[in-house]
Amino acid sequence: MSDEEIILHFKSTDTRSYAFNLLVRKYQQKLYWLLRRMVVDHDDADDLLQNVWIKVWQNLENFKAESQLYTWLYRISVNEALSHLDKKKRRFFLPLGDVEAELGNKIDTGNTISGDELQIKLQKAILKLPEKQRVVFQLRYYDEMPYEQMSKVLDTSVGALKASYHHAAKKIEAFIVGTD
Amino acid sequence: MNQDKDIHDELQGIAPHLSRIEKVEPFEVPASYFEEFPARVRDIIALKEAKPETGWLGQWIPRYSYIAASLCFLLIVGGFLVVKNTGTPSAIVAASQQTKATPNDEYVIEHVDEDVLMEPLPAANQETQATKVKQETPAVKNHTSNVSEQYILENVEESTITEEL
Repeated sequence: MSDEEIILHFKSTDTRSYAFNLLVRKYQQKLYWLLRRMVVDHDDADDLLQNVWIKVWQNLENFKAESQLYTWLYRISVNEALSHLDKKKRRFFLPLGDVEAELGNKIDTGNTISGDELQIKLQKAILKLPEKQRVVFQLRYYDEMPYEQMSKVLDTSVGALKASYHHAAKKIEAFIVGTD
Repeated sequence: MNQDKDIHDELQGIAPHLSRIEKVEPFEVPASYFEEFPARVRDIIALKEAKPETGWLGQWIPRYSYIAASLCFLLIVGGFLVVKNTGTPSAIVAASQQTKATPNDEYVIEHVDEDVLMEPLPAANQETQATKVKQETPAVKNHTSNVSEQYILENVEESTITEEL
């Protein structure tokens, strides 16, 4: 079922739950992985994913088809992840480096990450990026999102996003090559 | 994970080592997490939407309580302002009544020469009339009134008094 059809079903009270269930099943994995890569911890990602879907339930009725549903869902998720990291910094008066170190420790504990050494290095390199650059890199590298769509998600110009991705990829490359 | 050719080429141009790393989701997820998640979210939303049943009374009481509280506030403020405003004129009236000369005093002022009037009055009564009246206690007031009457009887001709009356 297309997103438009799901929205139509959602707007009818009889089929609302059915449409919502379809929507969750369709996008839960993509949104989960976006959140998980941002916050590393599964429980945090799970909490954020729940918040995202609660917001979708509360606001989908007023969703205007000016943007794609997929873009809107990503936008909500990115905002949730960034505000979670921001709260974490403010709650513990932590500088950005400490949050990055905390997330890096979670990667080091081993039982939360699968894959080989190179994958662990890659994740640590991604964590070294500034938060917004990290979002840009992940949307492009993992989600293979076109810049035009990313521009709508992040409310940033295509040129700025290209530059941001370029810098991010260069930094990660340097980290991987340097620590190899 | 599908490789978009343009995206891969772009990455190869920027970071050749990175482009050769296999793209996999790096984290582990608890077993059957994605199967159970939709039902869990539904339960959470249902719980959030299930508000405590208050009935028709419960729906109206809060609304009326806000109105009642607003009215009480307005009454208190209004009452305070009324008391404040009405208090000032009555005080002025009372003060003006206090300072108002009695009929006897008026008669003395009109018919008795000032020099004559000042001469026999005691030193305590040499203050201005207005100040004196303001500070006058009932006993002093009576005394002043008696002195005035006595003075009139002694110094004003009877025919003048009768004529005035």
